[in-house]
Amino acid sequence: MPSAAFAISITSLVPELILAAVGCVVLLMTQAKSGSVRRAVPGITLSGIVLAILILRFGHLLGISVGADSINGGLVFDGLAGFVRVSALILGVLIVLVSWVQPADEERGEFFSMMLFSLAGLMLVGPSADLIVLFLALELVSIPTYIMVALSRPGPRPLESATKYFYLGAMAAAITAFGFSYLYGVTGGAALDAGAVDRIVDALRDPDSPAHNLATIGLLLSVVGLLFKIAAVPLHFYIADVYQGAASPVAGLLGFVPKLAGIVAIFKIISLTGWATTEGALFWILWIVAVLSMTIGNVLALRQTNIKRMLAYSGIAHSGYMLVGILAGPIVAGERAESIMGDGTAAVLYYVVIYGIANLGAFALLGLLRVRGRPCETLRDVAGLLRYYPSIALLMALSMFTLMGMPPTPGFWGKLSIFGSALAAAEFAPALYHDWIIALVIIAVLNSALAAAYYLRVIAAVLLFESDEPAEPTPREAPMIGALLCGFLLLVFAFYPKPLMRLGRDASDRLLVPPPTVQVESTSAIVAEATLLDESPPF
Amino acid sequence: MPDIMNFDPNDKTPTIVDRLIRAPGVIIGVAVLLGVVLAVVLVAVWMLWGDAVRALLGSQLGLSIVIIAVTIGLMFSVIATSILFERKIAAFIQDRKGPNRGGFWGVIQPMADGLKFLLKEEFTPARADRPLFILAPCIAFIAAFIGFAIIPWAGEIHWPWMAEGETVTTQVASLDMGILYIIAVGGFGVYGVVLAGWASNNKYSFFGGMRAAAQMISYEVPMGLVLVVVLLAAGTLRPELIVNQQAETGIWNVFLHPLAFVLLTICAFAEANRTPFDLVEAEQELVGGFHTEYSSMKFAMFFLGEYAHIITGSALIVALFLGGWHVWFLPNVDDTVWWAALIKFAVYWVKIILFIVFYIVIRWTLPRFRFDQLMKLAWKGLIPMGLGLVVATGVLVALGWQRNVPANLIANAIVLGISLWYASRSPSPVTGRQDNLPEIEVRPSATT
Amino acid sequence: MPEVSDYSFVVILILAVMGITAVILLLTYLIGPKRTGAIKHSVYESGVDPTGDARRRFNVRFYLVAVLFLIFDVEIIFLYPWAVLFPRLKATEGADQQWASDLAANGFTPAFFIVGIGIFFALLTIGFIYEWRKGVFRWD
Repeated sequence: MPSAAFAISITSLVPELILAAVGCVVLLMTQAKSGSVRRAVPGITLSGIVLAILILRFGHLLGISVGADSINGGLVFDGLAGFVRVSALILGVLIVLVSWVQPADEERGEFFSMMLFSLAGLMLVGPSADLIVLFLALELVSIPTYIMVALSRPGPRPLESATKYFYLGAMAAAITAFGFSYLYGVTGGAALDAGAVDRIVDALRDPDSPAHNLATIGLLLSVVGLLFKIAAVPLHFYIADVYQGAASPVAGLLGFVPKLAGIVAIFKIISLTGWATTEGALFWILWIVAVLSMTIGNVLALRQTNIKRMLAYSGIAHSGYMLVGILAGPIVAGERAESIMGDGTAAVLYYVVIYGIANLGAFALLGLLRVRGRPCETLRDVAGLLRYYPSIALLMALSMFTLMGMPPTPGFWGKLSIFGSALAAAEFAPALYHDWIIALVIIAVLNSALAAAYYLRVIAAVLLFESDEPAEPTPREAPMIGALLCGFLLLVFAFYPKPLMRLGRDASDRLLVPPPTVQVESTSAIVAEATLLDESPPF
Repeated sequence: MPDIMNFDPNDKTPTIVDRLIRAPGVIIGVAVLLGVVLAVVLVAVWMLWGDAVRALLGSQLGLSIVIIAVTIGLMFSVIATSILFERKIAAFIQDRKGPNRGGFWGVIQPMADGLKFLLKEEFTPARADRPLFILAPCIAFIAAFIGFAIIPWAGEIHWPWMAEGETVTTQVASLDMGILYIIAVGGFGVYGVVLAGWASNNKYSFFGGMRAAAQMISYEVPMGLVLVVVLLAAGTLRPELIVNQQAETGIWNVFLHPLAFVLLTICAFAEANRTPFDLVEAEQELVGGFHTEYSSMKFAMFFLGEYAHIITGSALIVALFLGGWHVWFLPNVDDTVWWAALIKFAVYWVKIILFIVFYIVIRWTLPRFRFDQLMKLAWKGLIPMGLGLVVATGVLVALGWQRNVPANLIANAIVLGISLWYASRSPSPVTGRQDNLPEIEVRPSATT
Repeated sequence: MPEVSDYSFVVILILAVMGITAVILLLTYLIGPKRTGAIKHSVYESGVDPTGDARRRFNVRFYLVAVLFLIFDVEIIFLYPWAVLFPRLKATEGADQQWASDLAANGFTPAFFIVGIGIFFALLTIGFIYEWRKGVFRWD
């Protein structure tokens, strides 16, 4: 069925293509002569994302098998791809709403087109099953974010942040690409398939083989380069300056889009080792990076009075928690974990989304508020909000409680499942590693307690303190709607976390054994499977 | 012998040397004599070492070496002749006599020029970057002279002493990347100009070099696009196959893609820094631009390189658009006899020389562009038209009409029409900002 | 005669031209006179005493042209393989026909090539229009 494969490859990319096409349209709209066209930019962006969501959800009714389990040209549309695409699009709606009024009128088109390209890149990271596609998708995520930081608001500060972000990001990308080249050398191909897993696992098992060092260095460089995307410790230095320099909504975006892309890419690289994360070099690297990220992030965040910087440093700490989940992995005692409590990857995916929403909500509120005409940034700026704008104050408190991991908030479920999966992994790990994993969980719990200190400061400032000169919200509705939606989603996931957790579980399905290679012979089987799955789309 | 030490410039009495070099008979006689000597030498070589010569000509390696030698020699002579012709045509257009002292009608003027270059001092200014200063003309010269490697001068040859069906090709190298080689080598030439501007440490040179770089890389983009048009219709990168296609069908590509031909010609002019695109060396503003500080043979190498660039560019355009060695009633692809190859070779060079004459006439008829007009022409004129042509040709190829003359002409007309329509809509197509200058208020000065 | 790659002929040509260059430079170096002096070595600025160094900052537009060139030339180079192979897809006989049908059997039909290059070309054109409207191509 020659043309069928082609048809699948194009139709399954329809949501991404819609985003890219709308991005191009919006880019050209910047240069329109009439102001009304330029003012329509955010609306068109939003409708593009909504259209992509509709196609993803109801495309099978039109015969477009977007979420089908199809395989073509280095893309595999499995559960992980479904999770990434759904979460990217839903968070995309929130991000567009939050940054509705963000950049200056002349640059709005560029800003929103970059946002769309970045989201399209994120949606491609999910299905990519090939080193080259993965790298390109990651760069499609990153490069627009550098531009967005620069465009997000006037003045020299965002330019400075964007320059820093760009240079460090380029360096990290180079490290990743270097690591990928080693992996390519070991596996003899760019595909991330079962054959590649076999070769890497063989190479890692045999310390005498020449491929052993290549594979170790390749994995190390790839993961370290990707740590930049999630802002974990050795490559975390940029984050506070970038968050502070960028406008608040962009900082909110940076807390989700690159982070999810980096986490998924790390999943894909580590799954090459058959999730041998509880022993050997990989264990120690993840362990050290996780501990350092949590501790350094939290300690630095404690000292901040600027909320944007504080949230930036806390983002490092959250990356540390996520690394604990990655270390736990989806395997318990050689078998697939039975619930999310043992499935570290599913827990991490859940956690990234929750963190992304809460972070975006907090930044949305900061972006919404103005103090004496300048954006709201410090603890003093947000003081006493409860009395004047109770809804904003409560939303801020909700976001902070979620980030803190307070019990019924979804942040608590996320942390619980991550730590639970780490404990489950410890149970079946070799004796030496067992103790170290337990130690890691204890450090993580202590860190969560430490983090409560600075989140509570914000909550106290908002709810308890008084201020003569409270911040004023902007009169535009869209950012407020975005912030309300963030709060609404947090409440939904607090009391009804099942669907998101199930999505996460589906996503980690294929991570045990990476998806098969492109095989023309198996096309009919794929199509059969695709028609089966057509009836139950991924969300 | 004239007394050189006590030379009086006002002394008009012709010396014996003057008389000799201005006598048509003497020069024609010397030329005929040289020709006869050359012929005798060739015949003698043929008689004495016939087998070796036949083996040489019969193998691709030997033939390539012979072609290298012949082509470089021909290029030098054509350059010398075209310099004379350029000055003569300029003189004709400007209603003056032109060079008329070196021999009758100035025929040994180019040789005298060359000798003078060689005898001048090899000089590098103290503040220049010495290695780069010397390297720059070398790059310009080498890049201009190696481009012809892929030009299919005369198709295939079957020598009488070769086995049946065996042929050698009259091309230095038949590369599978063909046209890409010329683009790469042509792009290399930019380095010579930029390095010259940088190494001279002279402001005129520096600005000239910067302008040259901007100009050459700007015109490389539309050139690349136009080449895509030809390749798309031909389906190959090999110039010999493109020529063969034209010869076999008898339809030169210029009839299929007239617009692409015009665009490529414009780009070739700009790439060679020739008028109307010679503001790189604009005398009035830049005193010669990037070669202000150059003298003697190093300057001559830029000069030779420019003309070699023109010849190679013309040869490329002839191969791509004007049928290469093909003329309808003359030998075609299947005629591989040696005299047919000679005719093809001659035809090819006649076409090149006609093109050079075209270059010269253009140089002395058109004024120079201003820099913004130049860049505007490339980026807002040629590139959009090139993009349109690629799309139009792509559609034609998809429909299978790539060698259908009316369809191609209609497509070209559509692209041209759209471009002209858009150009007519924009406020001032070429005149630039002069239209929008504010009126200057003339105030009587205080003293008067 | 052993089989020789055609690229070696190019190497011969390059060596020959380099040889000519070296001989020319050497000849003029040996033949010409050599005189020196402070005035002769000074920079030519139309007879006025030179001021400052020539290697100074220059207009940023030159960088812009270089960046534009990089983008466009690379994009156009991407068109070359397509331009050369696309007409062969429609071949009706010979090795090209076999090759085209093999490709089609693996899902790479002519339609695939048209859609693929269409997307690529659309992006190229949109970038071009964007730059035009943004005023990148204004030098006056």
